[in-house]
Amino acid sequence: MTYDVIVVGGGHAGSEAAAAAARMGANVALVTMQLSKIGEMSCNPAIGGLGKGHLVREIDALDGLMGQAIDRSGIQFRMLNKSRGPAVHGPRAQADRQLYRSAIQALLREQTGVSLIEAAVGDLHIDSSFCRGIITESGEIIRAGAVVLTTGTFLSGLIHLGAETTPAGRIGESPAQALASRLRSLDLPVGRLKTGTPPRLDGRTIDWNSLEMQPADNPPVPFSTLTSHITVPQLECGITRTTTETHRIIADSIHLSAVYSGQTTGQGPRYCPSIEDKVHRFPDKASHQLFLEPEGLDDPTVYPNGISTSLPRDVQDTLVASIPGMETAKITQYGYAIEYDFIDPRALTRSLSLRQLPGLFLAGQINGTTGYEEAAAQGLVAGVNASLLAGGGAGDFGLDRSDAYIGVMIDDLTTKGAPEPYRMFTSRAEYRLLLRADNADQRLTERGIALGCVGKRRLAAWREKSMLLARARDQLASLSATPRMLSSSNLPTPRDGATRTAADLLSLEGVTLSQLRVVWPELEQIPGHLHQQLEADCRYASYVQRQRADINALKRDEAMRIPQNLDFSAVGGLSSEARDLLTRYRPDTIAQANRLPGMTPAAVLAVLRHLKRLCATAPNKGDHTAHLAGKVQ
Amino acid sequence: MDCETETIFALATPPGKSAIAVIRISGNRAADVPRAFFAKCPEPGRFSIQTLIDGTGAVIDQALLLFMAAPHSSTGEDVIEIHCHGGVAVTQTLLSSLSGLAGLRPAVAGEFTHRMFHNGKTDLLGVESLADIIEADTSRQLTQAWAQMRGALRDPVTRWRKAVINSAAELEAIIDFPDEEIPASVVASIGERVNALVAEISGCLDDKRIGERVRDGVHVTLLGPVNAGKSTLLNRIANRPVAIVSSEAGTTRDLVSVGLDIVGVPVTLIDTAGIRQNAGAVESEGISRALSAASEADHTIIVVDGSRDDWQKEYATIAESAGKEHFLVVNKTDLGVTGTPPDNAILMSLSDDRGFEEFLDQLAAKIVQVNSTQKSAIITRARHRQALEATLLGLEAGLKGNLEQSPELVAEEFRSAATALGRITGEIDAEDLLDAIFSSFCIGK
Repeated sequence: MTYDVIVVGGGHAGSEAAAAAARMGANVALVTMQLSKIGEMSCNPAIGGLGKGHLVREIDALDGLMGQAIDRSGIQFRMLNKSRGPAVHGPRAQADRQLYRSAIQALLREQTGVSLIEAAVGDLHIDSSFCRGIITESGEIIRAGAVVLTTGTFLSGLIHLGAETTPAGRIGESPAQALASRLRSLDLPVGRLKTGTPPRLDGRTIDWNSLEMQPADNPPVPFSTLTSHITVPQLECGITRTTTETHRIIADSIHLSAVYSGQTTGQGPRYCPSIEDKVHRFPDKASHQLFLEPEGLDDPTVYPNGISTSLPRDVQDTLVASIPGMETAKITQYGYAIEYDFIDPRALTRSLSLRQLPGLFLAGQINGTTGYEEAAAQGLVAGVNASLLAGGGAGDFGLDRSDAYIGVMIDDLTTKGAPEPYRMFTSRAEYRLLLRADNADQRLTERGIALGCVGKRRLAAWREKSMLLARARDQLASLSATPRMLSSSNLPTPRDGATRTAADLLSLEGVTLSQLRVVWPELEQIPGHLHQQLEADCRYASYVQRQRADINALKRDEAMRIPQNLDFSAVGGLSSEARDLLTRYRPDTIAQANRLPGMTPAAVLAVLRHLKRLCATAPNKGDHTAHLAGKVQ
Repeated sequence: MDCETETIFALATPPGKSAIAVIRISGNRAADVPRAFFAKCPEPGRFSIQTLIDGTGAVIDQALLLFMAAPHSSTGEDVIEIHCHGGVAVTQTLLSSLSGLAGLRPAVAGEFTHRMFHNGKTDLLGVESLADIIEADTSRQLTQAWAQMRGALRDPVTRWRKAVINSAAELEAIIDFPDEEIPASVVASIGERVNALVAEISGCLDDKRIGERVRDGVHVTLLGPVNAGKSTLLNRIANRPVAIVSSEAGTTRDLVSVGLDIVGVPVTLIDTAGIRQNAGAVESEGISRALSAASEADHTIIVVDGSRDDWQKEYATIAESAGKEHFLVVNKTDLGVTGTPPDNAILMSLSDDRGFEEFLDQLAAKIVQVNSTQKSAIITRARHRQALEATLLGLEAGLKGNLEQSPELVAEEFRSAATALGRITGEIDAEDLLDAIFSSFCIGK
């Protein structure tokens, strides 16, 4: 059997990769151990949050699945940071685990060109140093133009629960050992990471009446621009706290935790610490907050968000009982830590293709990330590129740091690696005011259309919205008012006698489009769902203008490509450390070289001068030296 | 072969005759150089006396050879120093022999320092200080250059940048972890701390450009009517005849300057054309140059002839055109003084040196006063000042923002402030922010 693209794995990266490749027109096989587990949420059943929510909107803008799936399965939608500026609004939703899985599976089945195959993959089919397919554990060869690996935590996965260790991909599922050995034999830079999950509780044994409850937003704001409104019923979450008794139990048993007994070797994430980590590292804090999140509408399981642990079972029992509201709660599944192999993502190009083995793309946790959203976003990029490569193209689609959070993430991964599991934060994006959750479609959908990964339905919806946005912008820029006209409006305008356009007024803090209708009733024509985007555009206009100069400088450096075969030993003035770093990680561009950790500005200048000498006969691309010298100074 | 991996050499001492001359060689072929003169390379970090012999077997010199192996040398490369006798023939023979060796070439100006920087032996402030140490003419310039080399600016800038990043990190924590419990006191104290930082940085900027003036020198212009004795005063101060002095009115038509060392500060004293009405075309040009020199100078001294009836009127006119702070010397008091000079004027008579010491004290006091206010950071270059001004702009704009409602805008301003500081010390990175976040808060569910 031959396909254009084979995707190994049916998690968030795999689903998105298969769907993206198919939208690009490829004939895709998604191969996974259990078809029923496609779209499974292994840990917290929630999508979005700060930075992560931005990623989901970007996936949606490129016509991906995640936004649509959570809109069909979200049981508690909340916009984080709602009281703050729109650039840091973080859409988030709790999911009904079962509904989410069904939504993803339904979307994949509806997608033309995706075949779902249930099989364990044991090896890669390599032909003349090019990955040309996979070999199942039963020995069947499936050929393809390109392969995307999305193995999650399954590569040599090892679960720790107290002193017990069990090889597993997820609890109760076998790991992918054969594939892991194969990858190790390719002499790739393989490392170990770890993550953890809390015990699950039977919600019927929790004393909800004693707890503070957190409701969903009303009305819930959907993730996808294709969703007009949310129809799933909304639930509340409970809030409780650890007690001094909890902390005493942990302190007494910390030597029994897999993480503390020296049993695990992988590096865990600092931002998602286990409860034993929190108690150990912040001994002054008497109590830690936790959220009790329902896992589904018809599922009594509750996810106690905040007490991830790998302590032995009996300790988990007493620990849970020491928390108010959970005194008699029954654990339905114990918490555990899981260690797994990952490939140092610096071995990848920014198209997520493995430099050492053309034809093979990697996405998701295998690249050292954590989180469904990070995985899905990589899956989409890998799927698009696999499809381009299989179709005879270069397969080098990539986004810049100034384009999208996706660009920030992939750039971080391929230049800095993953010293700890990588999670998206808004503080990672230097152009945060530009890369908002509300304008993801403005930034990306047109690019997706050009690329070919946007379906008809979204294309039509976007073109309609785009036209309305353009019309509204023209209107806001053309309407202007003198101070006298505004005097009766109650708007907080500065008393400087200046005439202001409607767009100028929107840049003032606290001014909304609806308020402007007092002055200009004709603004009524602008549909309500565009208000937030237009307001945010105006609010940040002056900052964005300032950032353009930085972005242009960045683009210039991004445009300065370093040939993949450049001999760094021929570059003069390089320290041996810098030379090793460059040879090892082979940055694609001068901008990437500049971001490699340990790279000095002097070394970047040396490479730049060398490149300029090399292309002295070629047409001049502008004075990069002057720009970088400015940076050094 | 790439030109930059070539081994470079240069005469490190001034050309001409001297007891000893030093030739410095840097690069991966440096250790091979002694062999070309039938001598041995010393062990790293050692010296030895070797006889250097040319291709015909003739002795060129007996010289001291020093070898420093990479990376433990000033350039970070292998370095050989040849301390030879400072004769013209010795140095010329050695230098031309070196030119003939494969892979060696004479260094271009500043190339040793360049390699030092490229090999990470020093940062930009270090390179600047090194140049200042070599250029220093006065003790005060030298003291300042060494202070700069040892961190007079680097240390406070590093500290400030850390403080800005910490405040930014706290804001980032508030933004990225809205469900976490960030203590309210953290937010409250950001404003307080950034205010303190603004005060400290503005204090350093409000230094009357001390550092730059010590480095670049202080300019003092002598202004006055014709024949008031400005040139005589200049010569008297410089203690040597520099300007054309004659009793005929309007002789000094152009600017004449002399460099002086006053209390360790380099001072350039500029004599100007005497100012009078109805001057000829050449003199008018001189007069307009005089006034423009005065407007650019750090200090202006107005010299008048106190024996003239209308000196007070002349003084008033000149003081008005000079238009800034100056001090007044009423000269030729030996010929009598018309009217009552202002209290702060210095009465002087150069024919018998009366008032001259007082004048020098006053001049020195003006310059020392400028230099005595020592701040926590020394700013010696315009680029330092520009970066610090950009920092202040960012911090002040941030302080005006609303930490609760628009933390993203405040963070943006702080980020630009940290970047501006980073231009002096290095680059800012998002990881710096995250490291700061995670080391100070317990974050993550």
